[in-house]
Amino acid sequence: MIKTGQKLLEIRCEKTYPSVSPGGNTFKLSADFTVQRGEFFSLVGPSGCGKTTLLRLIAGLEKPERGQLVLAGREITGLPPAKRRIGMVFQDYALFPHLNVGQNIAYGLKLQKLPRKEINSRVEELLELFALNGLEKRDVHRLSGGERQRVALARALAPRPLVLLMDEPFSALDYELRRRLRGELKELQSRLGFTALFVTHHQEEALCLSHRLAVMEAGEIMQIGTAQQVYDHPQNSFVAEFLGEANLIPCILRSFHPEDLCRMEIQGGDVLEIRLSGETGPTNWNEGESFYLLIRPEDLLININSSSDKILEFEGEIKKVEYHVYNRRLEVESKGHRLSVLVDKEIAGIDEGKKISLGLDLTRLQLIPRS
Amino acid sequence: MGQSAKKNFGQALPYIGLFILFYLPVLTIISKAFLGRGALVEVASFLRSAVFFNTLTFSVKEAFLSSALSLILALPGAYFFGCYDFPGKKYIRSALILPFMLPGILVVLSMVIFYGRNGSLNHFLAWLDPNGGFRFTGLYGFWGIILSHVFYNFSFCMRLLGESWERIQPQLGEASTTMGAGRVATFFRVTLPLLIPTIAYLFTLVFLYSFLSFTVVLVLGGYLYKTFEVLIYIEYNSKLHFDRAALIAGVQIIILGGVLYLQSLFGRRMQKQGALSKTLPRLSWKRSPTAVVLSLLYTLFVGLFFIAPAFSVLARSFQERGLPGGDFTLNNYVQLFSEGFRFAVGKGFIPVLVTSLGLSATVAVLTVGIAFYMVRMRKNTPWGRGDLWLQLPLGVSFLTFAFGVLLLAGRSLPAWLLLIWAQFFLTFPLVYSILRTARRELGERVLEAAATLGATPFEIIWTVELPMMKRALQTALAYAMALSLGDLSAVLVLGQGAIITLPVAIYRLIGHYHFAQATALGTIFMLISFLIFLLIEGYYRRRGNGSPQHWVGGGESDD
Repeated sequence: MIKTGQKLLEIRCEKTYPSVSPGGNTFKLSADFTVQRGEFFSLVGPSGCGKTTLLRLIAGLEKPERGQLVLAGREITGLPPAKRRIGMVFQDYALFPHLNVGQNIAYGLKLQKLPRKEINSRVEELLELFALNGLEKRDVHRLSGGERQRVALARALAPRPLVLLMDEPFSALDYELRRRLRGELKELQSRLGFTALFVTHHQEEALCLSHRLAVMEAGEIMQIGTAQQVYDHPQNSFVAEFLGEANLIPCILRSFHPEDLCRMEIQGGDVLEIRLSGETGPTNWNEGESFYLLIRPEDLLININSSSDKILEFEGEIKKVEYHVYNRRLEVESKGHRLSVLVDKEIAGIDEGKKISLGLDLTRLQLIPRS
Repeated sequence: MGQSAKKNFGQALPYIGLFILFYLPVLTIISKAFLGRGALVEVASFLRSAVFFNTLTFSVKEAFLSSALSLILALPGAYFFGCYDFPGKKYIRSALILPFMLPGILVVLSMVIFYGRNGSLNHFLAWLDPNGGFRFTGLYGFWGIILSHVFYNFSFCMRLLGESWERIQPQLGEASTTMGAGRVATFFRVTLPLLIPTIAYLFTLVFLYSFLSFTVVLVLGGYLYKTFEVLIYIEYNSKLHFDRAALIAGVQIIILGGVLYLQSLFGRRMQKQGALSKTLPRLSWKRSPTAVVLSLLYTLFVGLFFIAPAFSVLARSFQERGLPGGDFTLNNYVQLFSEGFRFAVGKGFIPVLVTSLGLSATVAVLTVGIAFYMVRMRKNTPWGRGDLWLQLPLGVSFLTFAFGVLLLAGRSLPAWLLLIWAQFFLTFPLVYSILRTARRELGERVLEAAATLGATPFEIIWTVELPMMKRALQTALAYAMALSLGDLSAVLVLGQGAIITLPVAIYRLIGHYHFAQATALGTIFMLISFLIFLLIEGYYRRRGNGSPQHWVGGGESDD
């Protein structure tokens, strides 16, 4: 459990960085947030959003143009990477090919000029911890992907860094392995309590691993919060669409009364009356403003009969059915809008071209400003 | 001056130094050839002269034939390499670079010992037919020069062409077959077009080497046949016509420009090919008897005409008076310590050996040190113009460069320093290319990983960079040593008779018809070259399927 209020890493910096696409523009990275001691914090965003640049700034591998970085109360902005006490796991692991597993893990400890006995005991401990026993003498190029990843983690944690940075450490692994290692990492982090800053472009990974996460786009942090906060209450359409699938329906606020019924004019002419609570969105919106109605596909229910005023019912036609591992994804056309709906695999009578009745729990409805 | 301006200036400094040291000698020649009073009249008169016409026609003719014959001879071997797997293929592939690594003077010695009037071939022919019949007498002439160039070049042509063939994905042939093409049609419509860039590249490469040939033409060409290189040397060394030598060198630089442009064009296309990845069918009697018979006949032919000369030198060094059929003796080696050797060569065997090894080791260490420093500066940035400028010394004939150094500083600097200067630029492009490639392969991540684990910049170099680049450094050192050891032209031009290295010693022994001692010295030289070769091949084998392509043209693909 994180002890709140214990700031470990304070990041307030800016840097211009080039686009990942050849000949592309430059972006301005701007970050202002803190990471708490023992926290698992993720930076998530599409390729080129600046998350790796931000990680490299924190590690000291690149220099910010403005701002400062504070780690455990000490300013580290001008310090070289070697003096920062920050560990890093690279995307391709960057294991030293001329050293074996044990030597890789011991590398940072030797640089600290620790007694040989202490180094050996720490290496033993990490080999045990990461289930690498027996591989101490093995060349790193003879390791499997999962083993490499564990060696890289063990090597980075060996010098007991104050914070561990991880740059997409699962990206080179297949689906099953990354799922397993994700679980292992989560378990290890809660057991050892190290502070981790994790970079990924996989929403699912960020959502399931992190205590908190920051969603980034084009060098800017769009939203910071817990997994539930950013998924359920995205602050803009980018966050909504990046974290899972989202049905975004344009609408205009025609009348607005905080904590009372408000009238929304949906694109196409329909008018919807809903109660906008604090949970649904801020209370300082103005009439005439444009919004998106955010409906998550799993929040749309089918074939229900409810007289509850909290459930909005409407008709639609199934245009497409996709079979997924755990459910089915439907594309339903209703009043000129294409809606994505997730339904249980067991439900019968779901065929393309069929009429369907959909229900929406109005308490799950979100309004996102169209800026 | 701001921090970044200082940094930029610090980074530019070695480039400026190298450019001055390299381009000044070349500019000296060009200015002497084209800018002096009445220089253009001289140039025009030279261009109209019979000497120019004869040299140009001979050079173009011999270079064209050398390239064509090298490729024709290499093609069947390349086919077996590209289409079949056979026992020892890896080792044969490695050994194919050996003739190319032999210093020019050893090639000449091998040719003289095997194809000379009293050579092994004629002894063999006499044994077959004691009553006269055919004897080979054409070594000292046009065809002898071509033969030597083919001996020198065909094996690496076979290696590179074979590797190109191996890189052609078998699916392409299969696709062609499914569309109705037979084996011949597939060869002409699929395989050959894919091989053309390599063939064109190799053709221009061998053309360039042959056009610039010095040692072979100097020894075997006599009075009749001269390349521009030999002409420059004769004008400078025998006639002491410095201005005329500069004029010829200047004209040659311009002629070379066109060939070099073509070569770089083909080189770039060739280097776009992928990796050797496919599994080839095994060459077996059961599966393909015709291919087995043809491959054996080819091996026999190549072995007899192109491998036997090198072995002849070895064998004759252990025969009485170095004659074919002579009794076994070590006397030829003992004679290396004799007065006769000192008289012919000008110095004793040990001083010659020490000078050669000392000079090559100094040049190698200096070149590798400076190249490593510059490579570190370039880090993993894409191969750019800066690198190309550093590769340009490859494009100027080495004799021309050495002559430029002589004109520029011959009176003010000692001969040994001039030699180090000249040989530094002989070895630099290749060494730089090897280290640059290795440094880029190493990447930045491991160094950054070391930094995040607490390593200081010095510790990063010492604990990660140097150990990881150890083999590339070893290879670069070996190549630099091999090139420096084998150099004859710079030592002849800049050594001013006082500095005598192994190639000069062999050249003088051949000149004095001391063939027995020449074979013994040649064998020792071959042994040294072979040890250097082992050092290089060890690196490439451990590194995987890599091929030291930098050896034959430098550079790797651009980003």
